[in-house]
Amino acid sequence: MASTQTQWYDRKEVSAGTSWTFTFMSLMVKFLPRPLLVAISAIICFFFFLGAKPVRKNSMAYLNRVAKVTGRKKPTLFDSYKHVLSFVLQMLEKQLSWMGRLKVSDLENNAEREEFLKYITSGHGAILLTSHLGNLDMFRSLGDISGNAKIKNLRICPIVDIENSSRYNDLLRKLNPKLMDNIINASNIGIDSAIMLKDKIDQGYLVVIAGDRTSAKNRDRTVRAKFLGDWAEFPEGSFILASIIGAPIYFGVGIRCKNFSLNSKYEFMIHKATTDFSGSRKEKKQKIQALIEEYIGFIEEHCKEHPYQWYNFFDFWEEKEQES
Amino acid sequence: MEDLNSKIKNVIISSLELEDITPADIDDDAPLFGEGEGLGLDSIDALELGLAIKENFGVSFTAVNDETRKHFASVNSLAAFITANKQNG
Repeated sequence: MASTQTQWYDRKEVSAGTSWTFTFMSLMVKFLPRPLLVAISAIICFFFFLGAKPVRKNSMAYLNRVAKVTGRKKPTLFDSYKHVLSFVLQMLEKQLSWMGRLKVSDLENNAEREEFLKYITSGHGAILLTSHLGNLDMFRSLGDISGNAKIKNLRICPIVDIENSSRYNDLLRKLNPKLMDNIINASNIGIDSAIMLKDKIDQGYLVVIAGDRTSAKNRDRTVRAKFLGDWAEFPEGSFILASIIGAPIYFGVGIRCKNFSLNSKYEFMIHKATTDFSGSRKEKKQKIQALIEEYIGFIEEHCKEHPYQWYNFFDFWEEKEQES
Repeated sequence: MEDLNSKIKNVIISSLELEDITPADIDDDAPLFGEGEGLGLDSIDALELGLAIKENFGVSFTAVNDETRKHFASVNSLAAFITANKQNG
C-alpha cells in the first residue's frame, strides 16, 4: 500500500510536468483559442497516455467500477484515454480561471448553491468538503480573492497539500498572486491549526478541504467505506476536522457540463451534510463514519453522471484490478 | 501558576471526557501526546483540545509552525504559553 502510494505521487509530479512545460502551457492558454487548445491537448495527451501504464491501470480500476454500478458497458482503453484527457483539460481550465477568464455567467443556476452562497457571504463560517471530482478552483477564483471580485464577500481558506503540488502551485501563483492567501498546509495539521481554523470560521471564512486527499507524506488513518460498489479506504483527517470545528458542513463539486470543451458552462453542486455532531464524544466515531458515507454518496452520484471528471488517479480499493 | 495548571487539567479532562482521570493524575511535565507516554492523546484529541483551550483561555495564532506546536507539549508549557499570549493580547 505504502509503496504504491509513493509511486503515485512521484508519478503525479511527472505527469504534471517540469517548470518549462508549465510556462509553455500557460503561454498556450494565454494566446491560443480554446478549441485549438483542446486539439493540441488531445495529441499531447495521446503520447502521454501511451507511456503511462500505471495511470491507465488506475483509471481503468475506477472506470470499471463506475460501469459496474451504473450497468453501462465495460470501459475500453479509449475511455481511459478520455479520462486522462479530461484531466489535462482541467489543468488548462484552472489556469483560465486564475487568469480571471471565467465568469459567473458561466455557471448554471442552482437553487441549493444560491442558498449556500447567501449563507456564507453574510458573514457565516462553514466547512466545504470537496474532492478530486471536477474543478473547484473555478469557483474559488470567482470569489473575493482578487481586486475584481465577482462574488462579493466570499472569503475562502483552503487547506492544501503544499508540498505535493508545489510546481503547479508556483505557476498558479504567478497567474494570480492572491492564490496563496489564507492557505493552510494540510501536511502540517495539528493542535495549533485547529485553533487557527476556528478563528477563520468565526471570522466568516469558508474552510475548504478535500475529503479524498491521499497524502504521500502523512499516512493518515483511514476509514473503510464502500465507494462505487467496493470497499475502499478514505483518509479520516478531513472529516475529523469537519466534525470538531462546529460549523455547518457542506459537500461541493464543480463540473464542466461538456467534458471536452473549454467553452463549457459549469455546474456547481452543493449539498449540506445532515450528520449532527452535537452530543457526546463517544458517538463521534460512528458519526464520522456516517459523515464519510454521506460524502461518498454525494461524490458517487456525480461520478456516475460525469465519470471522466474524477481526477484522483489513486487506487482506493482494497481489491486490486488484475494486470492487463 | 499553580491555579492555571489545574484549570488546564480540568479543561483537558472535561473536553476529552476522560472519565477515569483526575487532575492529580496528570503530571505537570509529562508529555500530553504520543503513544505510551504521559496521557497518550492522539491526533483527534489534539484537535479537540486545541479548540477547548481556545474557548477557555482565548488564545489565538496568526501562523502555524513547529515553534507554536512546542507550546502543547505538557501542562507546564501550555500554562506558560497561555500566560504569555494573554499579556501580548
